[in-house]
Amino acid sequence: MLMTALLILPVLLILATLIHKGGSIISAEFLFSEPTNGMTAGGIFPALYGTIWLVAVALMISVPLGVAAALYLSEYAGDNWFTRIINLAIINLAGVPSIVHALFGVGAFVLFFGFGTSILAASLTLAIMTLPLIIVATKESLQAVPHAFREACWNMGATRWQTIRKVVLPNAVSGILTGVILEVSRTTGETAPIMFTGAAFFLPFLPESVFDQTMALSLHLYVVATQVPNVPDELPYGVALVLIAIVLLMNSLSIAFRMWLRGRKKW
Amino acid sequence: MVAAAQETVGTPGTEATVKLEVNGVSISYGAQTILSDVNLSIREHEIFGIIGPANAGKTSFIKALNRMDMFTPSMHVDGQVLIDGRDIRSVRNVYALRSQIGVVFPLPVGLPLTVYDNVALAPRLSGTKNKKKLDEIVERCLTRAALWDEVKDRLDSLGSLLSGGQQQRLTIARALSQEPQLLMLDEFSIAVDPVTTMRIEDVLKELKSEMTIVLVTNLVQQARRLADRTAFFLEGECVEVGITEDLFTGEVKDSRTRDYVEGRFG
Repeated sequence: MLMTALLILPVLLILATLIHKGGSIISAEFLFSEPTNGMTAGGIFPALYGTIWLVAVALMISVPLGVAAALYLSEYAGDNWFTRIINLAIINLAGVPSIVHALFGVGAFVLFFGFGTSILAASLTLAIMTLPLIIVATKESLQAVPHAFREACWNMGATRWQTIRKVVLPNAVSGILTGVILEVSRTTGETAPIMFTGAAFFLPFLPESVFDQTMALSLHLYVVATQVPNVPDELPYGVALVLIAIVLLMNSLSIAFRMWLRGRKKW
Repeated sequence: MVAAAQETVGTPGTEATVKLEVNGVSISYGAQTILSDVNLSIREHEIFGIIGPANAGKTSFIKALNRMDMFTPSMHVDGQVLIDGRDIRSVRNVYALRSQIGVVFPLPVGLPLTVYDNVALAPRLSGTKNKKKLDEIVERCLTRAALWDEVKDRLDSLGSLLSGGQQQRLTIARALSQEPQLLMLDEFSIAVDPVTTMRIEDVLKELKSEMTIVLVTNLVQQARRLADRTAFFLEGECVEVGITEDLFTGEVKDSRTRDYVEGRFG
């Protein structure tokens, strides 16, 4: 009980500090206008907009890939050395520090594939980094669907794919979506992987395609907090507050969604 | 279908075509053999009972008959199974084979779909899309499984929320929706109350005229009530196959059978 309280304490303290020091700056204008005066004033709109781009593109890449991988591992692959190596690789991928992912992203996407520093390169890097998250979440929710359902379906003459389509996937969707939302909150906050691959210090324009660079909230926070002189105190706190609000919102959504789905669980 | 299907088996008084022939079937999981050298034949339009204690290999036997070993990596089946004279190993489209065999499990598996979708699933899998035709199939199968009256007003509610006995009848309706030639029931009455069991038994007696039924059961009296002929499995061995009534009146080839049906085992 005490330990649990201790766990909640830091979260509350962080939130309280942020609200106390940065709450005053939050306004519609702050959210929807550009930084001015060498980023010492104005709003955060380009960064907010860029973060949405980065997350959306990363999701478009990692969700299909991750779900497909999990389907293969859970429904098709037998238990052999090959699958075991894949599983090991997934676990290891989850353990790789994000700065290493960043350097990999520079090498692979920016240079080798020639995407340059762009939203595409940054999102690909983020996608690779969060892939384990979505694979594990999907795999677990697939395996939570009772085996008897599959057998009943197979016995009717359904193929593996028909069984997955009609019975397994519809019942695993809640877990998969939870994984997706968690991925969103993780991707939103990451700084290192996008720093060298697509996020810019400051841009006077908004990105128009995935081949443009973009600003991003997390990097913007790092920049205004450490790289720019004479920034008023409440500005970085305000940025941090927006960032954490997005993450908390996503997490709460995920929890609420999971509870809602569990409430109408069908077996 | 094929010439072999016309072959008759010479049991005095009964002339019937062989639906299913099992020659020297052995089943093993890894290094462990759980059923060895089963030889028997099942005739068209009969209820064929399989009795025997737990671990006799009854369920695995049923699995082997519709090639479910394909989905069980460690399961290995030797020997030959002929359905209508055709070796099921040589069947290229196993899915079509399975769609002709209805299976009912010990514990009811109401898929987490609506009652309607549960029964319409198999026809849909085999390509029936016509709503009217599906309606027809659903009503017919539910009626025959003695469930229609209880669920006709809530076809849109979830099948998995029905009571145990209803779910089992739903499973049977689902199996019937495949229009199977062969219906295999694996201890269907385990999770069903006696009254419902009797109702299902009546249904089975009626279905006999349209299909061949394999009935695995722990209840020897159920086999006696329903089965025309019965096989007794014990510890991975098919001890004997005979006319059901004979097994119960003591006309057995093996004394273990008599001990079992009289409940004097162990």
